[in-house]
Amino acid sequence: MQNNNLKINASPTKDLFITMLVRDLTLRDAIGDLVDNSVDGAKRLRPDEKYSGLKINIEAYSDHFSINDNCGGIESNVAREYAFRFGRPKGQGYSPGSVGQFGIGMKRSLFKLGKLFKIDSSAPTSSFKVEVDVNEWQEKGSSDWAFEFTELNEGESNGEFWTKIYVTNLNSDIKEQFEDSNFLKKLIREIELEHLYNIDKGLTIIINGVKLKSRSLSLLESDDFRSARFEHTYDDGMSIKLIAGIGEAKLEDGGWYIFCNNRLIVGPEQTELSGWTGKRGTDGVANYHGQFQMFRGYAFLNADDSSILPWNTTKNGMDRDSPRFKNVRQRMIETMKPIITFLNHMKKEREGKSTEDSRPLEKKVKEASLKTISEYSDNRYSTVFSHPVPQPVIKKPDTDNKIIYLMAKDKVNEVKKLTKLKKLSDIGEYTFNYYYDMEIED
Amino acid sequence: MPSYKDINYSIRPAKCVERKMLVEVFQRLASFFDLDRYEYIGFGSTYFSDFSLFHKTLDLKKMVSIEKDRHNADRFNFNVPYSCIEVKFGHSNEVLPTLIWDACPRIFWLDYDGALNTEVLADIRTICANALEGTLLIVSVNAQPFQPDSSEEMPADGLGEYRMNKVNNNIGEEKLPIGTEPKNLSLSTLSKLYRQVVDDEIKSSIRERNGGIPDDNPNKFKYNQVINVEYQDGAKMLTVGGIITKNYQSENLSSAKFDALPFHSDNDAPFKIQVPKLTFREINYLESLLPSNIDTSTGNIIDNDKTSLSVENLSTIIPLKDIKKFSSVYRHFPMFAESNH
Repeated sequence: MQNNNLKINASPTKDLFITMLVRDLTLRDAIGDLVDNSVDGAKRLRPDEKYSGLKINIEAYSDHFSINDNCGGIESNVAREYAFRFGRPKGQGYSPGSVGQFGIGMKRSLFKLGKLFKIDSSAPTSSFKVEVDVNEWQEKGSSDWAFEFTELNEGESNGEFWTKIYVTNLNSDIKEQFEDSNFLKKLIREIELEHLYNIDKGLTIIINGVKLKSRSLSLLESDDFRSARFEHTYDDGMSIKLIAGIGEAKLEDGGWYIFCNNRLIVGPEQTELSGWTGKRGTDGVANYHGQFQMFRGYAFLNADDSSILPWNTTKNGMDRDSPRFKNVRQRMIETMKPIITFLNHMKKEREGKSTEDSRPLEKKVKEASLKTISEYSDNRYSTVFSHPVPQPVIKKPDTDNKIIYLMAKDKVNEVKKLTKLKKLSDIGEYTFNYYYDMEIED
Repeated sequence: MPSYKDINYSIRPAKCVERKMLVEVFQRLASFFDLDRYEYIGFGSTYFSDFSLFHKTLDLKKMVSIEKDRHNADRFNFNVPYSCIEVKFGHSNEVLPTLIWDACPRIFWLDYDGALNTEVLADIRTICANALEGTLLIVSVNAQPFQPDSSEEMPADGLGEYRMNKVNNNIGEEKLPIGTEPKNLSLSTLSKLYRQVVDDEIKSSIRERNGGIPDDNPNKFKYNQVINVEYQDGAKMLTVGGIITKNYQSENLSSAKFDALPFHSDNDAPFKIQVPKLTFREINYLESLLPSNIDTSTGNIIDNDKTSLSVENLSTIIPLKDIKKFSSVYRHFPMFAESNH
């Protein structure tokens, strides 16, 4: 038997990358991936996270898509050996604290968008241009996977660091979505959320001329309320920081916000994933609903080696099977329990008392002020969320009975006349006492 | 109505035996930390029987009683027997998550009035997710099989169906062992099912807490069951629990020698506390023979030299099974007498 016959062809085809893998990726996440690459560049350029002056400009129109940044550029050797590979070569160093770690982000995103793309980069020690016609590349067959530089300058710098990506021949479904202004509104809102931390640190992101606003993470603070903070660093270097408390009463904003390397992955999360399992559920707290709308939890998972973070490859969800995430989730649940208790007390208070004056907990909430978590000073946190406790209700001894009965109106009116009483309850009491005095207690 | 109003726990004999057994378990925690570092957390009700015993015998000085009936706070506070006991008001589901966990190792005896339910499981999870290594967790629940009362209707399929509905409601289908059937819900089997559910819950929380760290990591948590006790003063009760340790404490664990306790169990085979009805004279006589002159596994007298002096054939006076029961619990056997104080 010849050895060759024992071989089974398991090599990939280009089609797998061009048309199959892109199906797992939404357009929204494809753009998110490209933004992540720019943000990673910013992080390399400014490890202190002071991003002012750095800018990412995105254009998404029916005839082209482009993303231009001044966040550092791609070095030619990185482009040659790594940036365009499908998958990360083993042993390849990571860029500390980055969000693009799987080595599939950029290519997959570009294939998702269109058939013709140009990348123009200027980095500290090199600059290059690459132009790829996807159809041509595919026709070259599965033996030749290389792209080619159309321009290349190494060892010199023009002092400007940028990356420009320009995609045309957009795929038809992409074109359609870029014409849909609702898609664009949603994109802006979501990127705002996703990068709120980075925008807060001064990074400018523009989509179709709209500058993205910073959305702040905030919590109520006063002497009565101390938000909970939990921090832990694992043996492998991944760290978690959980901050939780109460914020504005807004149904759609309540829940957990989970960040990986400062990029929002999920949130506001209101499902079983972040512990809202329902009381009958397996391990968490009640289902998320109106009475918990003030709950705010912020989870920051950070690691220099981003591959150890428990997120999925499209960075829009957590890897729920990972023991690490299960552990983080357990911590989140433990952190939120006292907050749920307080919100339950508030609900009870609302149900029991009709006037605002008689709702001391609600009053305390109103007196507290909203602070962003960057303003929140360290000594205002505590290990366990602390809150005012409702005063116990001392029950009145149960000695009285209530009697309700109906009587014909004309009879009642006669009694009214004779007794000169106006209120019906007084008449009832009077007539009962009359009987009692006559028959029981002389 | 809360049970403290209708039952005085102090006169439940098997429960008294159990409390004294727990004292012996707690003593062995000294292999992990000095006992005075431990904080005891329980449900003292108005009687605080467990608190009194543990304070007097072990000199525990940090004690917290969780009491859900905050409307009668004054009464509970009035009945606190020692100044080292603090009553925290609120449901255990609410109070436990507010503990400062790093402060000290703890002894939890969560002695619930009712059957095993999701609230009990929630407390177990809170403790397993947070407690320091060296913490002891003991849970007691009522394991009496469910029986419809006069106001309830028996389902068409009979008692089996009725019991299945009850446990599904109380624990939740997803927590019941696969293949649970009505025959697992009877007087002789329900406690075993409950032990399994508690064990699964503890281990699953511990697994989450470990977050996938390797088996040889010194900081990996482990749960070691120490007791699994059943008794029936009226309703059938189950007490199960163990110690939460980290790998680095393996030597402390072996030197604690929990397995040397006669009522130790690290599996699903319970130790059954059975309290025979005996007169003081009988008790005194049997005690004079213990521990060396009665075969505790059969109840038979071993040394005739000593016994022949007074009684020739003891089992014609005291049934053999009562001698056997007594000899397994005599060191913890309560004596009840009328008293005025």
